[in-house]
This record gives sequence, C-alpha cells and structure tokens, in this order.
Amino acid sequence: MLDLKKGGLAALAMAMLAGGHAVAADAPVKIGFAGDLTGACAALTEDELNAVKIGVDELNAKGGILGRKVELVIRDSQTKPDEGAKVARELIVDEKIDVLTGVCSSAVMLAESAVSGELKVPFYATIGSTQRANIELYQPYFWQAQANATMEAYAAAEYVAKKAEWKTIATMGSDYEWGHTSVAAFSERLKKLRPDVTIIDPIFPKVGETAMAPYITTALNTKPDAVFAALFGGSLGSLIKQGQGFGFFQRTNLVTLMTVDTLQSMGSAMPASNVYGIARAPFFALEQTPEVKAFIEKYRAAYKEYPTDWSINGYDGLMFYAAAAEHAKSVAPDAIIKAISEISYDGLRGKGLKVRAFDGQMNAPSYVGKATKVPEYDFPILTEIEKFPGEALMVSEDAIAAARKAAKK
Amino acid sequence: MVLIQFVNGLMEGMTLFLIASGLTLIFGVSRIINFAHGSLYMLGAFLTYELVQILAPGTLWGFFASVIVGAAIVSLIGVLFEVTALRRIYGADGLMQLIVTIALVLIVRDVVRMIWGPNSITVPMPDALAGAIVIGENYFPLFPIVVFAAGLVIVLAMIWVIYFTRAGILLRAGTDDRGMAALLGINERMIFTAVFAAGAFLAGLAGGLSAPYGEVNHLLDTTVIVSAFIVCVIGGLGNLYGALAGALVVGITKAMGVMYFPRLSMVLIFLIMAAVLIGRSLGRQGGSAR
Amino acid sequence: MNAPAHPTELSRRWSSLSGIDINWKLVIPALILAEVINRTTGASTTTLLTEIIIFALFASSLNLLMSFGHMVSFGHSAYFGLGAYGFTLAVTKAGLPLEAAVLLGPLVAALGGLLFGALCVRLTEIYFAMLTLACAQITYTVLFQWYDFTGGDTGITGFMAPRFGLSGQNFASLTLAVVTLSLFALWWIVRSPLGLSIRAAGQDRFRAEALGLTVRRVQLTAFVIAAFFAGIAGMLYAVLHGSAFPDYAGLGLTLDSLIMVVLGGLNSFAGGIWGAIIYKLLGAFVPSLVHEWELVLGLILLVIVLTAPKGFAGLIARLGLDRKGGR
Repeated sequence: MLDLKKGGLAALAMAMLAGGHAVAADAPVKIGFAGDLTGACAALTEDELNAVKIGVDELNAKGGILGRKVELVIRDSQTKPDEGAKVARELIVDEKIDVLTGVCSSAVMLAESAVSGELKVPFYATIGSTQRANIELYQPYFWQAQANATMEAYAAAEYVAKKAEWKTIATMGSDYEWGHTSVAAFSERLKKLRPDVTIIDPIFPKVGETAMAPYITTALNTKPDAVFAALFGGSLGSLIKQGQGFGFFQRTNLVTLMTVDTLQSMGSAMPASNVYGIARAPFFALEQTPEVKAFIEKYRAAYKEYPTDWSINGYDGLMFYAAAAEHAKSVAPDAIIKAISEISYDGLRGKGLKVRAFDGQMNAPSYVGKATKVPEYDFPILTEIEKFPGEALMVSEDAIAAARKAAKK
Repeated sequence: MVLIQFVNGLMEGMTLFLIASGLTLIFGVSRIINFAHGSLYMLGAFLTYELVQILAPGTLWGFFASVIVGAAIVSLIGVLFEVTALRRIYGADGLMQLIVTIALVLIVRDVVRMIWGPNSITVPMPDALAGAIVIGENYFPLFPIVVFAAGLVIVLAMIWVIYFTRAGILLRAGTDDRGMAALLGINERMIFTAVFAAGAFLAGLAGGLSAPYGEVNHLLDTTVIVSAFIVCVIGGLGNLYGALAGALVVGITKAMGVMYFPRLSMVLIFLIMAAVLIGRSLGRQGGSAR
Repeated sequence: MNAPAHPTELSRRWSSLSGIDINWKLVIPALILAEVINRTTGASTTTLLTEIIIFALFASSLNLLMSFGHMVSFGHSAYFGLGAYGFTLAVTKAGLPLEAAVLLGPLVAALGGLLFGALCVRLTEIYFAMLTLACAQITYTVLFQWYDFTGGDTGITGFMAPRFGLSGQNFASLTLAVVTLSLFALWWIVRSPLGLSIRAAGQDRFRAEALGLTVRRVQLTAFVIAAFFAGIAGMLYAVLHGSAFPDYAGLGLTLDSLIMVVLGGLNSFAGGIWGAIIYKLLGAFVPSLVHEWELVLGLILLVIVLTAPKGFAGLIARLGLDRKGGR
C-alpha cells in the first residue's frame, strides 16, 4: 500500500545509496566500533579506540586485510545498553560492517552480543568481560579477546595463595554483577588452593560509592592479612585515598584491579607498599619484543601517553581478527568464526593466543603484581609480576555446560 | 567499631552538607532547582587541582588557598550563567529553569572532558593532613576532621551573614515575601544574582575541599547532585539548618547501615527520603508545599 | 462524577485554550508521513522512527501529569521500566506467552503507579516531585541489585526475538498503530469529565476541593493512567530491543522525558509528541556529527529554551501555524 520501495524515486535513491556498499572484492573490510565513548566507560574506551586506530593504519600500510582496505566506522553507545543495541544494529544493517567491537560496559556488551547473534555478524569484546556472555548468553558469533572476570579473580586467588603468611582474607566488591562474580570466583579458587585460609564474608558497597570509610572500618575490623577488593573507578580510588588515613596499608594488604590507567591516575597518592594489582595487559610487564616496543613507541608518539591495558587489548583484538580473516581467506561471518578457534595468534600479550570454540573465550593471560614507585616512570607500576597463562584460569567446558543448564531453569 | 562508624558518618555528613548548602540556599531564595550544582562542584575540584600545582603542592596553605580561589572562580562562572541564561527566564515556568540548568550540566561535563580528559585525576593531599589521630587501635583520619572543622566554620559564617548583616536581612526579606520586598525597593534581581554567586561559591568550595579524598573525573557531577538533593529534601528544601541535620542523618545512617544491613546501602537513603516526605505529609493535613 | 457541571460550551472553551482539539488536517498527514518515512528509508531511520513513536507516548503520559494535572514527576522512568520488566519477567519467569505478557507489562506499571502514586499524591509541588524521584530510584535499585530475579545491572537479553521477529518496518507500523491508539485514548481521557477534574485539581486544588472534587483521588487516577501508558511505552521498547535493562527506570530517562515535555511545550497535548520528535532527532544526529555532542546538545537546549520559553508547541501557536489551538 504505502510500500514505495518497488517503484519511483525512492527506489532510485535507495539503489544509489546501496551501490556504494555492494560487497565487491575491492570493497573495504569494515570494522564497526560501537563503543562507550561517553558515560562511565569513556576513559577506557578512548584508550581502546586510540589503539584500534593505530591498528587500522598498520593494517592498511601492509595492504589491508586480504588485500582489501580496512575501514573503521565509529559509533558512541554512550554506556547505555539500548543505545548500544541501536548503533550495533545500524552498523550491521546500514553500514554493512564485517565485524563489531568496541564495547566496555557489561550491560552494553550483552545488548550488542544479542544483536550480533540475531544478525549473525561476528562480535568480539576487549574490555567488557562478563562471563554471562560465555555462559547462558553465549551466541556462536561472539568471542572474548581477554581474560573474563572469573579468570582474573582466579589469577588473584593463585597469587594470594602463594603468600603463605596470609591467613585471613577479607573480601569486598561493588554491588553489581562484576563485583559479585569476582568475589565468588576468588573465594572459590582460594578455598581450593588454601583450605587453611579464613575468608571473611564479603561486603558490597554500592556501585560508584565514594564514601569508603565505613567499608574500610568494617574490613579492618576483622584484622585481615589482606583485602580482596573487586572495585573499580571512583570506589577504588576512594578506597586507596581514604584507606591511608586508617593506616590500611600498614595494617593489611590490598589486592585489587590495577590497570595502567588506574596506576596513572593514582600517581603520587599510591601507598608506598602493600597494594597488589591484577592487570590485563600492563605494557611494562609484556615481554619487550620488537613488536611490543614499536607499538609502545608509536602509541606514545601519537597520543603523548603510555598505552593502557585497554589499548593493548584493543590492538591485539583487532590484529587477532585480521589474522583469523587471513587464515579463513574470507571475512564471511561463518568462515571467521571457524577460523578463530583454528588459529594460534602471536600478539603483544604473548604467543599462542587462541579462542575456545565452546564458549568463545580466548586463553588470554592475567597479570598480578605489586604496586611500586620506580624512578623510570612518573606513576607507580607493578613489580614482582606473575603472568598467569589463560589455560590454567579458564573454566572447564563441563563446568560451563553445567552453568548453562542451571541458568536455563 | 560503633564509635568509629559514627565518626565516619559524621564526617561524611559534613561533606554532604557542604555539597547541599549551596543548593538549598539557591532554592530557598530563587526557587530554582539547580541541576548544575554538581557541575559547579566538579569545576571546584578541577580548579583546585590546577591551582594546587601552580601554588604549592603538598602544603597546607597551598591547598586551602587553591580551594578558596577555585571556589571564587566557580562563583564567577555561576554569576555569568545566571546573568546570561537564568535571568532571562525568571518569568517563565519553573521547569524551564530546570531545563536550562540541565543544559549547563551537559555543557560543563563536555568542557571538563575536553580540558582534563576522561581519566580520573588525583589532587594531592596536603602532607600535614595525610595522617591520623590514633587512639589505641582506633584510627581517626586527620583530613576529614579538618574538612569537618571547615564545614563548621562555613555554617557559622552563613549564620552570621544571614542573621547579622544587611545582606542577610535583604535575603530573608526576599525569601519571606518577594512582593513586599520588591515594594520596599529591594532589587530582587541583585539578590538572585548574589545568592546564585554564593551558592556556586559553596559548591566550588565543597568540590575543592573533597577533592583529595576521592576520585575526580568528568562524571562527578551526577553522583554529587543526587546526594545533594536527598540531603536537601530530608532537611526541607531551602532550609539551611534542615540541610545540616539531613546531611548528618544521611551520613550517619549510611555508615551505621554498613554494619547492620550492608546490601541495603543503595536503597537505604532513598527509603529515608521517602519516609521523611511521607512523614511530612502525615504531619500536615493536606500536605502543602512548604 | 462529583464535578458540578461541565457544560459543553465550557468544555469547548477549555479545550481550545489548552490546544487539545485534534487538528485532523495535521494528524492524518503526519501519520501518513511517518509510514512513508518508515517504508522508504533505511533500517536505522526505521529504528529511530520507532523510538520516536515510543517516546512520544512516554512523554505524552508524563505530559498528562505535568500539563493537565500540574504534577511534576521526577520519576516517570520508573513506570517505563516497570512496563519493560513486567513484560520481560512475565516471559522469562512466569513463562507466559508473548500475547499475555504484553498486557502484563503495562498492568505492572499501573500497579506500581497505584502503589507509589498513593504515597506521592499526599504531597504537592516540589515535594511531590522529590517523592516520585525517591520512588523511581528505589525501583531502579531493586532492578539493578536483585540480580537473581531481574538479571541485575546486566539486564535480561536473548529471551525473545526482538520485535516479535517482525521486520523493522512492520514493527514500526505496529508501534505506530499502538501508540496512535494510546494517544487517542489519552486525548479522550483529557477531554472526558475525568480529564476536566484532573485539570481542575491541577489549576487550583482548593477551589476544586470546594467544588466537591476529591483532589487526591483524582490525582491518583491521573497518576495510574500516566503510569499505565508509560508502561505501554516501556513494554514496546523492551520488545523493540528484545531486552530489559535497569537503565530503563533510571534517572537519565526521567530527565529525557522532562526535557521532551518542556521542549515540546507545556500546557499543550501535543507537547509531549513534539518534544519526543525534537529531542530524539537531536540525540540521534548530534552525536553522529560531533564527538563533543553533549556540549552541542546542551547549547542547543539552551538556545531553544531561551528563544522559545513556551516550548515548541507555544512557538507554533505564536507563529499562528496551529490555527485551531491558537489563542
């Protein structure tokens, strides 16, 4: 009735518009970046995007992917899940992107993953790390190019278990999915490794809480040897700054997420000792291969700052995709998905990175170390770092299958 | 433990009062719900960050001088905003003023992000305030105690201005009966501008004073504005003493709540707010606005 | 009805004063235009159009409270969120078929409106607004934290094919139909004796009371109706994306709806619709043009409010474009 598509001017306009997007051998490979460029995730996503831009330039300098130019299409998902779903759909349907990435917040990630599954376009995450995307909300066009939240918490537990003198551990987490998952995974692994350790019942400050004094007091009251804190952003900074007045870092140790951006923003406010950080890809802890050195230099030259964990992961994630495409000799979704579990990729974070077909999880490493001020940098870095290979941290396929079944109920 | 939590609550309460005082002042006189109050607070924190680096990082005087100068600049920004935007629509529906302040929130957030970037920054703690008073096993951090003292000074200063100066008399006249005040030849516009300047100054002051004790980034505005509203509502909007009482109630309840019902912390203050509002309606048959 | 008399003459004067006559010459072409845009443009325009239509209903439901009841709610997103979650949870937890769940969503929202509204209408003006804010934040927190039931901050996804599996265009048409019917229903309510009492209570509660109206009951009815229609909007939004997130009940959406109503124009039935169109279009195009879109959006808002303090509908009236609704 009102369908004017089949005739008239509109069809002509449509044909003209669509003409440019027709998939041809010389058409560019389109990377859709639907990232949280504003809102709570802005800082992380900006670092990621900066690195992805470098990656795209490098790929194009080498002749692109499969000889086709690489084009980056950027959208702001505003750290809102509905906005994320909307721009993801627009990128896939209108821009005809070949792969979707960029997302940071767990909620936005799940929203975009749902769109990717529905429209059957590959989607990979390099910041957002909720394990729900691997378990009950897994869809075959998704992969996670970094350690997920559970794996990180396992890494922390492994590190803590080696501190024989730590007998009592208090736990704390932001009161949302990530905080709860992390605390539960940490406690579970630590109990297994060190049955002698007492783990205090967790406390959960609300998300974004900045008045941390009551929580510090509660945690210290149990006289723990260390506090595991799945906190982030404002809550973490407040814990470290406010903890000092309570002698927190004389009385106990803190084990928490400590990526390069946090180390930088804490700067001189970082306590001299007793802070242990879990990281995803701290540039100073990577094996300083020529590729890593070149990337750090290039990043610093372009943005006048060091790459953060988010930058390294963003770059590695893109290059992994390029490698999968070269292997598959195609960017067709099904060929890519087949390729990601076939290839073994050597990236900035080390050799032999691959994705498990069962749940789209990459065997990406986690790093845990001690926050220390060093003369080489004007911000503290992690020392005494231990790198935990991904394989040892990944949840077994059986356990995931069981969790999927449990979630179905 | 209970004592320390009580003190923790008291300290947070004073910070909350500092945040809320400016908001309640502006509302009391001009009837404007200033959504941009959190933005002004955030500007205060960022300006303190810059000024401390120029003046004398780590020193006591450097910190306080930076906070005060920063707050003065924030006050000027507030006046600029009041004169260029708010003043033009005093006649329109009150909601228009709300939208104007929301617009300012968006503008300030992006400007701050353009200047300082999206990452958090750290305002150095003055060395002299980094420690704690230790009694037995109990630690009482120094910095919040000093902020508490500063808050008390501000409360006293506000009481003095409002009750013992000519400006205060004009202010009270304007609040009590605008029409009568205007008839008596009091320039209402001047009062509104002056009050907005004072409110913005208080916001900047609160932002600067709290800066070393937490994270400062371009998203600080939303966190702050919601707490400020809660405090003002519990205390009764426009009521300065009420704001002080409300702030202390919220601070102490939050701190004590951590011990008894930790998972409720997020809803708890809204429950208090709802309870106070409902109580108000029960107390006054008909539940009129003021 | 307790209202003394509502002669048709008075009613006609009222409606013309408030710009609530339907200008068919405007409405029918607008509907046709919407459908033509839907059918002739790309997928993203269709999605944007669907959103605009859904938010036109959401803003209009708030507008019923604000323009006619003079009740300023700072927590209207609660009912949008309850509509979305009522629908979603009916599917995921109660295992209801979609046809039943779509009804349950708005009903849950209305129930929430009844519960919160009963408390809120005890207060007036700014304290009413603040209590609605508290109620909305409590709703948001429960959705955000109770993650065994609501999925917590990561929400509920993947429980249904988005848009019932309809194509984007067909779903947009469906939404247009549902929203148009809902808006007619809202308009009919505004014109009805109930609508008159809502306006009477809004204009002068004491006079209304003196005339024999039970103001609180009238206000509560208005509140529940507004919550119900907000719930329809929320349910449609959950269907559009095939997901529900706590953000749907968050402060951000409340502010969006307030901005829409005020931008569109208070004291006009069309205000909510105009506001949704303007604000959603700005929100879609400004971020795609500039990275600092918040700054630009803020400046545009500022300019609009300063140049047209009566909102877009007021502007139209001033320009004499809205012949029927003009003064």
